[in-house]
Amino acid sequence: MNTILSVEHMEKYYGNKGNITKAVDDISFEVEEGEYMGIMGASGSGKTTLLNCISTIDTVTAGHIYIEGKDITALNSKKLSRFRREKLGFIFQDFNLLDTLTAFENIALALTIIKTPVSQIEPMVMDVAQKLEITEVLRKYPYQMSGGQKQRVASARAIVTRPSLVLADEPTGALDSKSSRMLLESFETLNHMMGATILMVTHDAFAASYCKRILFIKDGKIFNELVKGNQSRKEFFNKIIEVVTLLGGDNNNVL
Amino acid sequence: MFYKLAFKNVSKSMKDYTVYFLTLAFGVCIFYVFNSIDSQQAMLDLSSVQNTMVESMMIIINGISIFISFILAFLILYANKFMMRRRKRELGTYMILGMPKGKISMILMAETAVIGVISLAVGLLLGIFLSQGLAVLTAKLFEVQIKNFQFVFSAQACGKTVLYFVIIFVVVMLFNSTIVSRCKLISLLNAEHQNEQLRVRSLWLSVVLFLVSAACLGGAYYLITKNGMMYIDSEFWSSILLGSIGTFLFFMSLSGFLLRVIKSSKHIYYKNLNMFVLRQINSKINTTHISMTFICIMLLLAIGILTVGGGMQRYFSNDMGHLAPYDITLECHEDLYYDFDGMIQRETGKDPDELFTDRCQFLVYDSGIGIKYITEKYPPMADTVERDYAIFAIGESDYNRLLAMLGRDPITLSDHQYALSCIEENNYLEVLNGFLQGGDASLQLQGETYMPAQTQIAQGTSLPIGNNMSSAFFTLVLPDDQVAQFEPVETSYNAQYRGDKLQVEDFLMETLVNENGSSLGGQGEDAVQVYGSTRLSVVQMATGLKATILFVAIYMGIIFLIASAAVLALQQLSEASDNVARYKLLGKLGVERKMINRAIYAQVAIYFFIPLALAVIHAVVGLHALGSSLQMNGMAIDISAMFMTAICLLVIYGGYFLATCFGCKNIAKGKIS
Repeated sequence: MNTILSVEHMEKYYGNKGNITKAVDDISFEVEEGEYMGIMGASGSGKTTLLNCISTIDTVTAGHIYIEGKDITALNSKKLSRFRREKLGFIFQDFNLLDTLTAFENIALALTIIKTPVSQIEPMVMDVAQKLEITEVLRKYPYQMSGGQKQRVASARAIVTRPSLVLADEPTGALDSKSSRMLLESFETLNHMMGATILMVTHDAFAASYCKRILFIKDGKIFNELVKGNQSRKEFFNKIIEVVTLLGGDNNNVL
Repeated sequence: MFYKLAFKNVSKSMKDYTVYFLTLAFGVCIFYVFNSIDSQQAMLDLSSVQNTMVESMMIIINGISIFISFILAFLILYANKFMMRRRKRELGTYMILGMPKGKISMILMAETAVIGVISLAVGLLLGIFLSQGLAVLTAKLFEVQIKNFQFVFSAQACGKTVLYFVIIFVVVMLFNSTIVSRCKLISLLNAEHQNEQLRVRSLWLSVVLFLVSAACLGGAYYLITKNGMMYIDSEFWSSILLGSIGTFLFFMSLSGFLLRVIKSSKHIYYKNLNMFVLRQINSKINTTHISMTFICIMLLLAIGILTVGGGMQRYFSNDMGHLAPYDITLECHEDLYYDFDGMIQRETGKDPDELFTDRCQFLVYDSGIGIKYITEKYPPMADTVERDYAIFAIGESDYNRLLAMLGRDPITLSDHQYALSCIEENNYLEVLNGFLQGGDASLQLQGETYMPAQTQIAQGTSLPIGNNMSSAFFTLVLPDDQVAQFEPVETSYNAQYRGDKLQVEDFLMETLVNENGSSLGGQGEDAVQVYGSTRLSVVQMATGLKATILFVAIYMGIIFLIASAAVLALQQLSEASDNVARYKLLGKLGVERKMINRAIYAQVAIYFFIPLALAVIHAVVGLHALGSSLQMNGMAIDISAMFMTAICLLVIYGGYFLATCFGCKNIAKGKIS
């Protein structure tokens, strides 16, 4: 199996001399192709910073990040844009769909950005829409859809370009539990059927229980790692809860 | 503390709203410049006639200034509305901190005052300098020398500008206070999350509406071309109405129509960010189509006023000598046998022979027919006259004396023959020759039939019988014994000055013109009203009129241009900040900065140039219609006026466009990274 993502001794500091906040403090890990990995941690633990650096939206202070063997910390802004649109797919907590475009157009936009031949756009959109069961909302505008539908459209937009890595930042954060479950099942489908490599940041143990491997972060450092292996989701969920309890003081983040 | 807050806010928004400040300052500047024209009299060597012209020009400019102050007031209120919208969150924060609404109003008032004072100061300063330059233009238009170049400052214009703008700013303050007193805290804090109501109109409806608008515009164009813009009749008004409706529907349906058309070509629709840009415009058009309509109409007015005004002044700047071939003309209606020579001798103390090389007194008769009589016989002429004017007649020998005075060859008439005379200019000759050759050119005068002496008016045989422009249209020349049968209506006296014409003119003006300066004539008890006009005064009146037309055209044209460009710029800048989240998302999705910028430019360009394009089409049709009518009257829309308009458009509108592109780009850039 290929290593898709490799983070080596990454550090990210905020502030200036005398008043430094270490948001990410020497973190290293790897993500293999076809993996579905979760990153958990309390608010302020540095998980979003980590994700921002991986997604090339933010720059690291020290260390290296390799995606498909390429060191993204050494790319200039133009190459970063190119890298982002070709290799990465994004799913945000607040969907970030363009409200002026229909669902179909939102998904197609990702394809037009990478200059996909026009003839392929429609089949590709229809294909991914079928897998995520959003064919019937394709003609609707975001304001006409439910939260779950919006997030699945956003997922479709992230996956339609066949990125090497899909980055999901609290994708269930704005959804009710039923929509969350449907979305997470969609993620499983993407992971299984399309072989998408997914890196999901969440502080929701239920969402995390869908992952195959979970990294726990506390105060910018790796605190623990859990692998699902052959456990059932329920057993895995209980283990997650145990670790979350161990993380301490953050009971308000437990389900 | 509150005032510190106000000052801080202003300096912060200075950066964001450069366009607003520049527009304010520019408005003040233009307002001052045109209201201070009369103060330039001090600098220029103007005659009394020209001074009168400047005064009457100022009356017109004062009137227009009131109208313009309304436009500027609306512009400022509109801009202010945008600024307030952007600051709802800030106001919400003040309120959540417990600041009473009165205090918030005070802050806003203080801000408006600061903005007002700064823009007034900058605008006035700019205006004072610009008005020095305008003096050169005034001098050129009045064809006079600048006698002593001095720095003129018009306290009156300055006071007026300050007064008008203070009133506008007070209105803005009141407006802001009402906004503050009415607003609800929750809507202020959530302002950023409130999306514009997306009313999605069916795209096919847009296509239908677009076709309807095209039909309306076509109808309007047809009517105005037919009407020729000469008569304000039902045809004219229906054209205006149809044109307005068509323009309105055009902007209402345009984006939907474009979307429909471009969507059908997937290659264009799915290229780069085209889809995004089109949807972006389509989402806003529901709220912008009304302002777009107004902008388009304002642009049309600006183009029309500048082109026509510029063209008219060209017409007046042609040598006016042909309209007034005599150095002086005197007329008297009350006493048909008035002794002009005697009057001149009495009033000036000089023998007329000393003053004039040549002079001629003659009677003018009423021919009993009017222009309509002729136009009924010769329909092509019907277009040239609107009202019925009486046609005057003059005897053959008197007419020949006038010809001789100007060194021209005499004409001969046989029994019951007539000749026509008019100014040999423009299309009059052509029209009259058309009439003479067009078939039945016989005239029934007092029951007798008169035939034309010639089938064509030869060059040099036609001239007006006086300097009075109204008599310039045309005159009948009849044989002496026959003209005597008509009723005389006035006696006329034309003369050419001897020696230095300016000296004689000044001397006559001094001695003949009575106190009120309006007419010439005797001042004794039995004084009879005598009217007169000199060639010099006619020429000076014409240059005065020319200057008035040009100034008024530039004044209004520029204000209209600024107003429309400023509204567009503010709309786009405010929209750019609304769209920051969208641009940010595009950036996250991996769209390059260059591509985003191109999308921004495309959007701004569409908003700026589609109203302009439609306005230009409107203007071309309108000017074409007007042009063919003007040609009948010897005027034409000339190229240099169009050139001037194009330059104004390029500088002002283009300037605003570039500033907007730049501003939008910076707003998006600042927020993406």
